[in-house]
Amino acid sequence: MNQSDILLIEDNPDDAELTRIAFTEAGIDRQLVVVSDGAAALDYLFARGEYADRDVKQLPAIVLLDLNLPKLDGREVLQAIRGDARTRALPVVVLTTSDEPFDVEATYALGVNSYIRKPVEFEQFVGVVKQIGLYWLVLNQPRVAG
Amino acid sequence: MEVEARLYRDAFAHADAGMAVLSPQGDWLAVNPSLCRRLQRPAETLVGTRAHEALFDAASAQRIASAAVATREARQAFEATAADDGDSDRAWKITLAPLGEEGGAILLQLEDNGEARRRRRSEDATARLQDHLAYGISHDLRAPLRSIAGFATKLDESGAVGGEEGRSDLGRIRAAAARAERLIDELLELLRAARQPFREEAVDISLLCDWIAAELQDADPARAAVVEVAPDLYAMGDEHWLKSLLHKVLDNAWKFSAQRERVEITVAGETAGDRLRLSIRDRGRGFDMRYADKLFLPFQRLHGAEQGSGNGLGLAIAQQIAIRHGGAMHAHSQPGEGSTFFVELPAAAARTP
Repeated sequence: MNQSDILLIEDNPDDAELTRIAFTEAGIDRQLVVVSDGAAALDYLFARGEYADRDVKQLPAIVLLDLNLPKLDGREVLQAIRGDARTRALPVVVLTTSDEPFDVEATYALGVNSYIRKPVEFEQFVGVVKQIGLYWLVLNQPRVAG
Repeated sequence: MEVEARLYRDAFAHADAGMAVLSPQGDWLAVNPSLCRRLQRPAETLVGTRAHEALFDAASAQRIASAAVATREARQAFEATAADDGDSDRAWKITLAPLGEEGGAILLQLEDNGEARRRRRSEDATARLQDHLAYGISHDLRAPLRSIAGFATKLDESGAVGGEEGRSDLGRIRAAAARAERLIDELLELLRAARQPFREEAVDISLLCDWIAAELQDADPARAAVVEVAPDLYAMGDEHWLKSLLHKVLDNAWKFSAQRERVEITVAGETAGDRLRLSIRDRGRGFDMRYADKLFLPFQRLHGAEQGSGNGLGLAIAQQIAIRHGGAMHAHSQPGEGSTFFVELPAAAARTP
């Protein structure tokens, strides 16, 4: 089984911490890499800037993407991921507080794999994280990049 | 006579009102400078054409064309907007009057309609504001709630807050966050009910009511309930939104029947012309008709939370959905006897398979 990281792109530190706790409570023992804006996310994925010494071939198992982000917002990050051959096949799940039909529509049009709204109630959120882990890290057979 | 004719021509040329003379065939025979200025078109692009077809919205162009043919009915006034509706916010008041005998020419007078233009601009601005608000509510209002609920849970689990009282307070914090989330969900639903485009198809209202009754029973399995739904009720509309409307009314009837041994709800309906009139009757606690006008206003409640009242948005959403379908909704009640909600919708024949 692929033991790569999970990349969480989340600008709200509270949300990032709660997601980290939820991953622990859900028993998912992958490393959760948190970046707080869209530009940093792309730097991480393409091993640039702060992440220049990272191995660019070492892609995360899954990208969890918030939509309202500083600098590059979630849609722009998604566009960049889908626009590059190295990351085109990367599973991207939008994990956001919004269920605006506009957001859902726009991100599917840009090629997101899944759209999940974060519930307010923490136990429900842990349940959601468990499902994400089970589906994307265990059940799903990822497409081979290239 | 010659002098008189020249005076009329001068009056036409110098009048402040925009004026055009149209033939019974709908051709523009003459226009005055004031009209050209108001339409921002030179005279030669108007005279000799059926200019109304290119200038005004379809309904207004049609009125002008028919008035030219039957000049007896020509005298009328209406509001017109620019033909290619898109971004243009231009609007005019048009007055038509017959000139001379039946079958003769008609006079078209045109004024700027600043009122309509301002109204349209303000409606556009309101719609944009609603979009931004919905977006902001959806993204930014839920985020702090998640922190409140999440960290209250964390505190509770960590045992850092000891004692019965501390834990009970944490429970209250989490319950309040959950209530605020439901409120946000319903606020967004109300905004969507007001602005989202609706589909139009034949919808089986009887089936929807049976379905909702089953959902309510599933959520409250120990409750004795009889929900009678008349068969073959069909409306024209958007199934998703009509289900939401019926769910809110039936859920309301269910909740406010708490003091009864069993829930009794009757859904009946009749089709009159192109209208379907539904009535949803319960035997619940009812409400005082003195407050009937408050029933459908957002955030107004006629009962306290301990009596099962929600956040006061359900019926506001339901009524908004009925109105968006070109229908209406009202209620009648006798306290202690129950309530009847009347919903009027466009009728439809049975759904074509």
